[in-house]
Amino acid sequence: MSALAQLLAEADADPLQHARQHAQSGRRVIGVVGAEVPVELILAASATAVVLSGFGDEQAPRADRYLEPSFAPHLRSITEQWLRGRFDFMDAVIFTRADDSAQRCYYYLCELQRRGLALGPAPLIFDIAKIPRAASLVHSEAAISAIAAALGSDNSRLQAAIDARDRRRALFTRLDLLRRSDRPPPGADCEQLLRLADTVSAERFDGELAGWLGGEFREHRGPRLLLCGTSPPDGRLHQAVERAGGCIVAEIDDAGSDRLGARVGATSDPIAALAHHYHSLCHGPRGFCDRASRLVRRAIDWRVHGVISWLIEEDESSAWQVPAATAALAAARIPLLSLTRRRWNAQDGALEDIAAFTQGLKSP
Amino acid sequence: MSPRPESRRALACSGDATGHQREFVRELRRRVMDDGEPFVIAQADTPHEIFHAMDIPLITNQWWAAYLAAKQLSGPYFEALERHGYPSNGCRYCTLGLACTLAADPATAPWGGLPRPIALVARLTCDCIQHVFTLWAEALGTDFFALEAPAWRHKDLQWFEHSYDRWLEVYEAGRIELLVEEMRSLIALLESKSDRRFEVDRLGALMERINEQEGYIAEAAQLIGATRPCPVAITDQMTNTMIPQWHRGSEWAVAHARRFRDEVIERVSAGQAVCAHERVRLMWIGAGLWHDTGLYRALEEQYGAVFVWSMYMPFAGPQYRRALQGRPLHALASRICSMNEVLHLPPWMNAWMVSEAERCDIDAALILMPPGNRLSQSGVYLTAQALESAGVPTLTVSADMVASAGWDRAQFVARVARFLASAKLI
Repeated sequence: MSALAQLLAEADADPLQHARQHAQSGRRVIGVVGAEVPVELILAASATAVVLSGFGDEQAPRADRYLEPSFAPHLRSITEQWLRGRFDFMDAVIFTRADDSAQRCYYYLCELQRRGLALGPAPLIFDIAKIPRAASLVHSEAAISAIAAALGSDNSRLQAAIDARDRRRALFTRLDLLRRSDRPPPGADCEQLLRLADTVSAERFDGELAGWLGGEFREHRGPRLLLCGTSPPDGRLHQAVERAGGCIVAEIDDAGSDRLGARVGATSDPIAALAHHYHSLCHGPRGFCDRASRLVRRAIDWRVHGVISWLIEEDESSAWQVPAATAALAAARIPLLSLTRRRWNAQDGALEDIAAFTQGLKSP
Repeated sequence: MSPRPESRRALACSGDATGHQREFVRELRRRVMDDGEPFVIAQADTPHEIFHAMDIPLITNQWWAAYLAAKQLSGPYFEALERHGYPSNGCRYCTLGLACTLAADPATAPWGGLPRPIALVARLTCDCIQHVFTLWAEALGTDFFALEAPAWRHKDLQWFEHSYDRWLEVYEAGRIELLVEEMRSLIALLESKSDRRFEVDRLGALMERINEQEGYIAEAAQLIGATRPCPVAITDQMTNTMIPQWHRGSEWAVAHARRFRDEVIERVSAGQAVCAHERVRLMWIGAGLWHDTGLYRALEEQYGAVFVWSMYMPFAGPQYRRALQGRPLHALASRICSMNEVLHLPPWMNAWMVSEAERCDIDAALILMPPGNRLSQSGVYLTAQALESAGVPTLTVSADMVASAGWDRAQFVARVARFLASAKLI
């Protein structure tokens, strides 16, 4: 087992372990909900960032008391963990407004704390505005400043924080290129490292990932696939593909290796640069972009033999992209497995459907 | 000795309101379809005042959806949506208009289907609306103008007490400024695509008339809530609030609201009641059940359970009235920037509902929870718990506002009866 695999296996077993250790050593810990939260601000506040994980197989009886049925299941899981006190060691948790379930959870948790029904960290909301318009960009800049003020981010440390995240972006770009090659790493390994990247020591993760990317990977002769739609809870969809002889070489949106966006770079105005960066990211339900074209472009560039579109019942955003994506893929003659209204734990035959689709793809 | 309550009789002004609406629809159709005037399709929680002040005909998406549902068209149109490849679990209220356009069936569509508007306008209050409106705009070949729904950190539990003249504080200056900027861009778009011009003085005058109109509605709401037995049926409340609301600030709307207020005063003075044997005072939380408004009457007749409260009427005072303070665009922004939030997010929703239940001497509440609609479901459990804590038994109702599939009124009435019996209210 590689050092990276060991690190990730430990994080998978307990995604909060590293953050807890930091809290015990007196360091502030800030939880993150949503791919568009500016982690740079947390680093510039000399705090530890930890992306909160949702678990696909856990019951959520406490969260069920407050969250209505349409809430995204990963937010239900996070709320359950909150109400069980698992995040009590954190100072704050930042929720993105660019995800409806996440932003509603912010209001619910504020209210539960007000009523004395919940303890835990301070809920904060990152009020990112995504409409491609100057007024929204200005608002996003104010939102960045508000979070920076709430965390006590040190402006003089922001460029260093941006540089640190740019190093991560560069590593993810290398990963992307590797996955595009004939020797892609196993999709399940990539899913795991992308999911857990912000639950472990950033320095150690980046170092181990750099080493891992420089390693040798076997040529993959089976079908190459792209996964789009809802972010899965873990590697179960990727593993189903691998058991059927395929390999997921790319994901779209929050689970994808391009989710951090392009390099921010050196800037004289870090707040404005971050506002521009997060405002224009086109991932997630609120991003403004031609998703069907983006999907086909990626499918072609990554030379996939098939696309799996997996949408859960509670995903009210991606569902509206299904016809356009279906038509665009058909025009590009790329086979599509479209699974809609599925369960997040995939215990509804989805894994079998995915395996059958993978096996049915023409061998390259 | 108070006069003996008389049996139910609809308000005279209700017939006039529906008559006016019928005439308005005819006129709207003439302007949009026959004369080809530039028009707009917009969500209910957008600044309609801009369109009114510019004399641009407006079709409100939710009104259009209710119109389609009333014509029993929701079933076939949702089937059309599925035929186009959209999963069937989408939000129904906001998508029926898109479904009608995609069905492209002039034989069944009212007016033969809507022509191309100059713009579609929506606030992004959920994750799906930007996609729905983008697709709809593409299908109609026009622009979609989106408005942000920014976060709201200042949590004033008494927002409904302070919203008239402390709106800058209650709704936050930054949120208001963002919407003002957006409205300026919207006005520029409308002016570029029509021959209509925006004048701020005209908006100011409209806003003053809206204040007068909403003041009458608020007065009527106070009277209805304070009177037992309830003098005005929920359907009359909705009709006489919602129809003028679509035309807010027009001379007709102001005059109608005044007349409604006066008629409520008359009924209260005469001791007239919705239900002579009122036993239970109910609150209906959520949008109206537009495909079966007769259900409210059924509960009154069978159990003396009277719906005293629905959101539309008491909402008029706190969420619409605004001291202009010399800044009509900002005052308007403060009205719009939280229109949905106060109805669906804690703490504003639950704080207001509990306050209203107390004001109206409510015995029990029914909360609508439409399946597959996160926005409309939002805040339901926390509000139900807040009401229960305040001593108001609460029943959650799973039903859709416009989709009638699976709805069974008799079953529903029986369920409510069991709930009221278990709460020892009947």
